[in-house]
This record gives sequence, C-alpha cells and structure tokens, in this order.
Amino acid sequence: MKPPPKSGFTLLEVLMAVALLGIIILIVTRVFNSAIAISSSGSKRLDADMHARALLNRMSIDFAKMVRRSDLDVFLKEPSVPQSGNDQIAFFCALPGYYPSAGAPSPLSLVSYRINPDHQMERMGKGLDWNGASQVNSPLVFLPVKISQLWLAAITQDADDDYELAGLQAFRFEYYYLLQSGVSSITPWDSAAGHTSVAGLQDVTAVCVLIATIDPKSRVLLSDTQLDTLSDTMSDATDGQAPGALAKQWQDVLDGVINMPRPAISSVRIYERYLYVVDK
Amino acid sequence: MIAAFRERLARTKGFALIIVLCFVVLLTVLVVAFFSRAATDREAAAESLDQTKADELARSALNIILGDMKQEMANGFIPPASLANVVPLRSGDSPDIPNLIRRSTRSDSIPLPGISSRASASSSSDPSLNGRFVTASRWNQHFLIPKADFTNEAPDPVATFIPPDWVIVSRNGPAERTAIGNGPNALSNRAPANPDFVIGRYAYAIYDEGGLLDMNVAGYPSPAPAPSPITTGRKGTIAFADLTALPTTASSFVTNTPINRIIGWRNYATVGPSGTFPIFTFTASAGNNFVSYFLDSTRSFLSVSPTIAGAGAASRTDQAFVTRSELIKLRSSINSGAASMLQFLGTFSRERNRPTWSNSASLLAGRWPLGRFDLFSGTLPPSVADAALIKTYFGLVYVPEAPPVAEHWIYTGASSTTRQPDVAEIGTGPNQDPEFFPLLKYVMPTASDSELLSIGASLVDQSDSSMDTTWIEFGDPALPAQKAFGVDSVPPPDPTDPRPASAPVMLKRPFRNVGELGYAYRNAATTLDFQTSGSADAPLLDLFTYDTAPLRAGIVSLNTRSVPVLTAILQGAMVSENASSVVGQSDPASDKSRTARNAAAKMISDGVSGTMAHPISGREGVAQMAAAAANAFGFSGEALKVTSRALAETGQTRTWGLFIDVIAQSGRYAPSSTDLSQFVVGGEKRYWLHVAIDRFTGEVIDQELEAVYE
Repeated sequence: MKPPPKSGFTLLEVLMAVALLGIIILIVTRVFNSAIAISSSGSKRLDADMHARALLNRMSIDFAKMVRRSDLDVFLKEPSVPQSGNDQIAFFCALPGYYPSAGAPSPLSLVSYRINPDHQMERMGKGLDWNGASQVNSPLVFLPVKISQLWLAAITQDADDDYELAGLQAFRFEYYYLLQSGVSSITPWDSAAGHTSVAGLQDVTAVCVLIATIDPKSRVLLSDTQLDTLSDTMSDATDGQAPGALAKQWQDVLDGVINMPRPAISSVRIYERYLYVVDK
Repeated sequence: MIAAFRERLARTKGFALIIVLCFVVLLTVLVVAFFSRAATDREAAAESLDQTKADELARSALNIILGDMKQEMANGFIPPASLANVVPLRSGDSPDIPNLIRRSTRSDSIPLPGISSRASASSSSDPSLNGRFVTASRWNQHFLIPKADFTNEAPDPVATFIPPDWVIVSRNGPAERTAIGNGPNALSNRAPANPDFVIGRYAYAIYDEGGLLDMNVAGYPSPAPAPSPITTGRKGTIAFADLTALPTTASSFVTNTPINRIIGWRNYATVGPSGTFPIFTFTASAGNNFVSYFLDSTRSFLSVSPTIAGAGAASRTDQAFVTRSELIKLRSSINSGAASMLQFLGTFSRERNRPTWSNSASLLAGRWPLGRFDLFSGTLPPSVADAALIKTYFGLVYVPEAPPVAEHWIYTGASSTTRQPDVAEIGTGPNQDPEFFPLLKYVMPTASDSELLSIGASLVDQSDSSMDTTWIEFGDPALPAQKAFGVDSVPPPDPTDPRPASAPVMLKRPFRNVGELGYAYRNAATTLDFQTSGSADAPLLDLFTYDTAPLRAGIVSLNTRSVPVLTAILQGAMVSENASSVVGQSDPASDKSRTARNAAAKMISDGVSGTMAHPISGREGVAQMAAAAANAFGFSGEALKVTSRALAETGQTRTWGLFIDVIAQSGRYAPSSTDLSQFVVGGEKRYWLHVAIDRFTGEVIDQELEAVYE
C-alpha cells in the first residue's frame, strides 16, 4: 500500500516563508518608522511654528502699542548698549500688565523681553499704577528718570515676579531696526539725517526680530554648554543687512555644526519678522 | 490528526490580514492626527494672516484718508485761496455733533475741493455674512460724539449719529460699488485676473480734535489758594481755561473735583500737590508752582517737564496723556466727573508758531515774542546787555536825562547809530525776522511813522515800571527831531508836548498775552482796535506771541464748533484790570458761565450762519469774534477786547487737528453673496490717528497713531 502523500512544508518553503516574512516586517517597520519620523518632524515643526507665531504675535501687539515719545525712556540696542549675544529690550506700552494686588492700575505697562539663563524667552508685563497713587508701586515715569532706575530687572537678568515664559523653545533673540529711510541698522536713529538719539524711535519704521527655537525633545540632546555655544555662534546683527541675510547666516552656522547631535541641530528653527512700531 | 491540523490552519488564515489591518489603522491614525494638527495650524496661521491683512488695510486706509485731506488742501490751494477752505469741508456730519467733520458716507456729495469718501451703500452697522457689525456705541468708544444719555457711562451716541458706511477695497483699490455683480468682474470672483475682487473694506469718521481742550495743558486747580482769579483771568494759556464751565448735563457742570484729580496726576512733580491719587489738594505753594510752570513762555508742552519728585525708586515725574484711551481710563479711575465731559477734551494739539497773515511777498519766520518788551521793565538806564538787545530788537537807543530834557529814546534802527528819518520796510521773501517798528509798519502800512513810534512807546509804557511817559525821537538828523509819545500816568515834562489820555489803563507788568497789546494807544486818545471786524490793527494779534516755542501743543482751533470749549477759555477772563473783575462773576451760581457761553455761542453761530467772515483764517479774525460777542462782557473799550485777550494767544487757525477713527476688515465676498453687506469678515483692525496738518504749508506737523484693542 502506497503511503499517503505528505502535506507538510519542505525546509526550503519554510525558509523562504520566514525570509519573506522578515522582509515584509522589515519593510513595514521601516515604512512605519519613516511615517513616525515624518509625523514627528512635522509635529515638531508645527509646534515650533505655533510657539514662534504665538511669541511673535505677542511681540507684534506689544510693539504696536509701544509708547513712542522723545521724553520717555526705552531700553534697547544702540551704540552705547551694543548687546552682544542675546538681546534685551524694555519699553513702555499702552497695554495692561500684571498689577500689584493693591493699587490704582493705569492702562499702561512696562514690557521687557529677554532670554533667561535657562535659554527660554521671558516677557515682563509690569502693570503701572496711576501717578501719585503709591510710593512703592511705580507709575509711568518720563525722562530724565530712566527705566533702569526703577525697574532694574527690565534691563538685566535679575529676577522679577512679573516675568513669564513667553517662548519656551526660543533660545536666541536678536533684533535690529528698519529705518524710515529703508536702511537696516543696529542704531535706532538715522545718523544720515543728523540725528544722534533714539528720540522716541522717530526714525524707526520696524524692529526686525529674529528668534531661534528648539523643541523640548531635541533640546535634551544638548547640554546647556552646547546650547550656549550654539547661541554664541549665531552672530549678532550688523548694519545694512538685507532682509533674511542674518537668518541665512544663522542657518549656515547650523548647517556647519558637526560636534553636536545632528537631530538636535536639524530641529533648530529660525524665524524672522518685522514688527512695525506705530507711526509717529 | 491531519484534518485537525488543516482546521487549525484554516482558523489562522486571517492572521496576516489582521496584522496588516493593524498597521493600516496605525498609519491612518498617525496620518489623520498629523493632518488634523496641520489643519488646525493652518487655521491659526490663516487667522494670523487675516489679522495682518486687516492691519495693513487699516494703515493703507489711513494713508488714503490722510492723502485725501492733503489733496483737499491742494485743491483749495496752499495757502488757502478762500476763507471757506481754511477749514476742512464737512460731509456726513450733524449739527448735534460739533466735533464730527466727516464720515465715510454713501453717495458722498462733498463739494470741491473735498474728496469723496468712496463709500458704498453698505453701513458698518449692518451685519456681515458671518455676523460682524459695528454698533453706533462702538463708533463712540472715544466719546467724541455727544452721549445719548448723560446719566450713565455708556458711549451710546446721540440718535442723529449715523454709523459710517463701508469703503470697499478691491485689488484695484477703494471705489464706490453699487452691486456684487456677475461674471469675471464680480466682486466675489477670486480669479487672479479679476481686478475687482474685493480684499477688504474700511469705514471711518474724522473729528476736529484741534477744536478741543488739550488735557495735557488745559485746566487749573481750584478753588483758592491756587491760583488767584487775577492770575487765571489774564489767560495766555489754556491752562487757565475754566473747565468748570463744561457742561455734563443740560443743567449741570464739571466740578473742580475731577479737574483737581487730573491735574494732581498730570503735574505731580512740578506742582507738588498734597495727597494720594486720586485725591489731591493744592496749597498756595502748589498754586504758585502751577502758575510758574504754565507761564514759562519758552515751553512748547510737547514734552513733559523734567522735574523729578522723590528719589530712587520713589522718583516720580509729571505725566502726559500718551493716548486718548488713557484719558478715558483716567476719567473713570478718578471716581469723579462724567463721561460726557470727554467730548470737549482732547490729548493732541499742535501749531507752528507762525502767523498766517501777510500783506505782501514778505513772510515771517515766526511770531514776534512779546517777552522782548521785558527789556524795558528794569530801571533806566538799561544795562549794557539790555541796551544792545533793545537796539537789536527795537532799533532804539537810550538817551539819559539832560535837564531840561528828560530821558528818552532815539530811533536809529538796529544797524545804524544815528537818528532815522523813516521806519524801515521789512525785507521781502520768506523767513523774515524784522525789528519791532518795521514789523509794525508791515502790519499798518497806512500809519505814519509818528503813529507807529507812538504805538511802540505806548507798549513800552504798558510794560515798564516807570510812570513817566515814554517818548522817542526820530526824523532826519539834519533837522530838528520829531517826537513820538506813548501814554503813561505822568505826562511829558514839556508842557508843549501833547497831553495823554486821562486815566489810562496801565498794566505795568510783562504782557501775558497778545491781546493785551490792545491796551496800547495809537495816539493820545485811541487804543488799538481788536474788537471791530476787519480792524486794521487786528493783524497784530497774529504777528506777536507770548509763547516763543516754534512748535507747540496746548492750542485750540479758533474755528472750533464746540461752544463749551470757547466758553471755558472765556470764562474768568479779565474784564477790567483796575476793578479786577472777570467774566462770569456776576452770573448766578447755578449758571456761572452763562455770559461766556452766550458770547461763545454767538461767535460760533455767527460763523456757521455766515453773518460774519467765518471761518477765520488767522488770529486777526479774533477781532471778528469779538465783534460778534459785541458788548457781552461790558461796554468799556477794555471789556470789548476780552475776546482778543482770552482767545488770540490760546487759539490758532493754521493747523487742521484731526482725529481719524478707522475700522478696517480684511475678508472677501462669498460666491453666494448677493448684497454688499454680505461680506465675509476675516480680520479686523481699528486705529485712532491724531494728526496735525499745517493748512498753510500742507506739512504734516506731527501725528500719533493709537492702535485700538477693544
């Protein structure tokens, strides 16, 4: 009697099946990983865009409501205050801020932007009292009283409760000026017109702000020292730069970084926006 | 066994499918989540873009509106060729809203030289396709329109206010539209080639802020001890406008409480009030500080005083209203006053301190400072330095007493050392800065040299401390000297010289305002005429100034239509120096500014009805306003000139002080839109532009743009 035919798989069939399965799993895994990577990268980009937009929109409103008067102090980059590295700016603003719990709040505030030692952007919106309401809580003051005399934290890294995190991901902050003559400058007045002082930013049409951001997941790949180094290598603004030139410089610097984790560097985003100050 | 194996195999055949489906589901979730996030982000970006577009549109709208105003000036010629074009034409206004000059209005029939607003038949108060509209109340957030109800704080305007119509902006710019249209040129057709595709719309209203009281300067603390009625009565600055003359209802007026609170806040460092915001009190010392600050003739009030009160972290300064919003907020924060008072108050006023009057090809660089008469205030002989300045400014040389000839002056002119036979003419061309007597001759070309020198001598007598009559020698040095006499309490010693008027009103102090030149005599019997319409002396009001700042704030348009504004300036003005009587002192306590109000109404209503030459083109027109007021303040020559003393120094006509309120909306018409109101609003932006344009040069003197966030 003829034995029944064996219905199992040959060794070759099994091996081929395993190999095929392995290849399929590999392909699917790679596709899946790629999808996750793309999605993650896209999410980071969206995150960064969203944070940057929120920050720049906030700044846009603040700058539009900046009180521009020749008899009011404003702390900003100028030849006598060159501000190497991260910049800082402080000015009076016709917007409410955080007021003392007991006081007579005016509709004005002192606004300041800075990058803190933790490489995050902070905004101070210190609500100002009406004049004569208190000897402790300061009102708006005009020159010759300067911002530095009453609110040191507005121009330094000193702590102040009215600072809030405005840009968690922003670690580099730079700005320069677009003058009414159409020239970009790091001096907030038009020397060619014979002017020698800020005078309420009379010559300034817009403040061009650049920020560099890094998302939290990429951030952990860099030490504080590396972030400092990275920040330092992104150069300061100079006179006469064309729109986008400084951002390109920064991007070129990032592209040339080889001693830091590439995933972290590639997730650094650079944003530039002209914040128009209200016409004077 | 084999069957069992096959059965098991059959049961696991779907395993691969399940795994694949799981992967597909995972990938789908991933992709959907990503795209959902991207869509949200896109929406946020689109919203941000809409806001940016609205902002750009609002700024463009302001440029268009401002350009139209400048074009109106150009159409009416610069400087204006006719009196009617000294002020901006009105369109879409209402007699109930004196501040409103213009609004964007459909079928705008504004005559030349005005420019149509280009508004379409679509009211800003009509809901858009997505339900956005601007209420009349929102249009009055600035409180420049009289309130409908004086008893509350709401900004609801009077019923006669009609919200502005939309100016529709297509890719081709703003133009009046009648319908959405169809086909390739429909307003809703997004085709790139369609120039009529609508990208947004704006609506606006323009107010006469120059005709309001600039609260960076106006108002003084009261009651006594700060400052005295005599001090405020001499006027010279709108700081001495009596704000308690401003009505809050039909029968009640602003009290001094809100005024003191505002001034305590505003002049905290220079005046030094007692108390804490908002409750301040003023001592006599504070009153003196107030007077000293505002009577400093060099101040432009364009910037805040550099005086600092306190030290270190307690350093405090004066304040200025940096926006109108701040004024509105302060008014509500001081827990006093009424919102209705805001329609009379502004925060922005400017004027180049130059005359508008001219009678030839000569144009002055600026007004002639009255403070130069202070050179005569000391005891004679003048110091060497003063003598040099007197020669420079007046062309006079002092001659000491040489009995029997008393001390006197010789007219030599600034560049000569000998007596001059004639008063020189001023040069031709722009930027003339003449001496005093050539300037008088420029104003009064028909007056004799003797008359001109007599007026000068009389002005010296008014401002010097000596009671002796001043006289000036002039004439050909080869001939006997001629004499021109002023008017003072003590007549000239030579009995053959003419006798002066009896009991003249002598100031014997520095001039406080240009209207006080009216105390001077042109001869022994007649004072300068600042109270008759068309008076030949009236141009003096425009050519001299107490305030020497070349550009200044704290000035009111004399062509204002706000009766309470003029009332506040007139109220308390000095009627009689000798009697120390002031305007309104005999009015009933319940209506203490009745006299001033009636006079102000007469000035303005006469202007509106055209019964006098109104608008006025220069400060010389104050004489016409005085003529309109007639004997409202009394019958004496001094009383008839109250108007010129109160208004000439504090008023101006050369600047259009405009407050432009514009709301712009970015967006589009939907394909389904059939009516102009069916606009789909994307973003919205509102600005208040304070702008001062010199009507006589077309120059934008200054502007402040106030972004409004509601």
